[in-house]
Amino acid sequence: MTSRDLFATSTRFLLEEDRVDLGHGEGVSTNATPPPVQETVLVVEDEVLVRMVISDYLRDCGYKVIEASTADEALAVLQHLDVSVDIVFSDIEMPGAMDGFALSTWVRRNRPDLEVILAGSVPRAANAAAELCDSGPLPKPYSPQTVVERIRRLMATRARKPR
Amino acid sequence: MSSAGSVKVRAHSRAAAAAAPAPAHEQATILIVEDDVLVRAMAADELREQGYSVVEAASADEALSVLHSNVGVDLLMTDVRMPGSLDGAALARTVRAEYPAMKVIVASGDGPDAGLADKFDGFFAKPYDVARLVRHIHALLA
Repeated sequence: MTSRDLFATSTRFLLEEDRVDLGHGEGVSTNATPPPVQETVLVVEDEVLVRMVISDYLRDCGYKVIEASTADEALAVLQHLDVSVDIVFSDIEMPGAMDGFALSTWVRRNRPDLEVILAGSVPRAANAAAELCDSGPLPKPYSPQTVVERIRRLMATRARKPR
Repeated sequence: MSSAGSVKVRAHSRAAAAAAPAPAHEQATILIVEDDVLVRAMAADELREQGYSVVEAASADEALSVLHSNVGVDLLMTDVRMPGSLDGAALARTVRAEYPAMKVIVASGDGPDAGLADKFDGFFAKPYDVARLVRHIHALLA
């Protein structure tokens, strides 16, 4: 994965009490380890089969996932005060007024507390999800190659279906 | 919005999860079709907490993509009024014809519709009571 594929606006915490100083002046805490907080990933992807498989993969390694089919849906989620999001995981090319880059720019300006991951192809999305799972609450359930293969199988099945 | 992090309060009621009995078929798959992302996320979240596998679609076109890829779906719940090449009522009719074993629930913000309620396995006027929806789904999939 190239650096262009991975944009991060902040480093994530799994444990809210064990913070390290990222230059935001938050200091260091040495509290006893509390139970890990379940992080929420907002998956933004217009191809429903990709969104479904990537979201399931992230849930299987312990993340809570909210699904958005467009950047507009993502903004509706991000602007809702009662919805908690920690990471935005977005496709790059999407229909509508905003693509993934524009969404990422919006997040950096309006929600600098969030991490943004952009992935422009199925293999890159699978690898990015696997990297998230590497630091997820639960062990990675299967390899990113399995994710890619599942997506390709579903899309091939759909393509064979007469419309 | 606080710069220290996002707000953690959840919008939906945990009482809904506690009110309904455990599902008889916990691995059943529900396809939720709803163009309002927040309504869709809340309903999906509640059903996952009840033990169901949930697939989310933002439109009837997305729902058909899922169904045509042979993802095994046991119950379809669809909003009626949605943008796209077909609305939820047309989707429900299509599913009834092509997947007769699948349970179908429709939801609408346009008020009660006896015609839809008679044709399918449930009709819920929006905003619906999530606990009642969960109980109905438990009963359908038992």
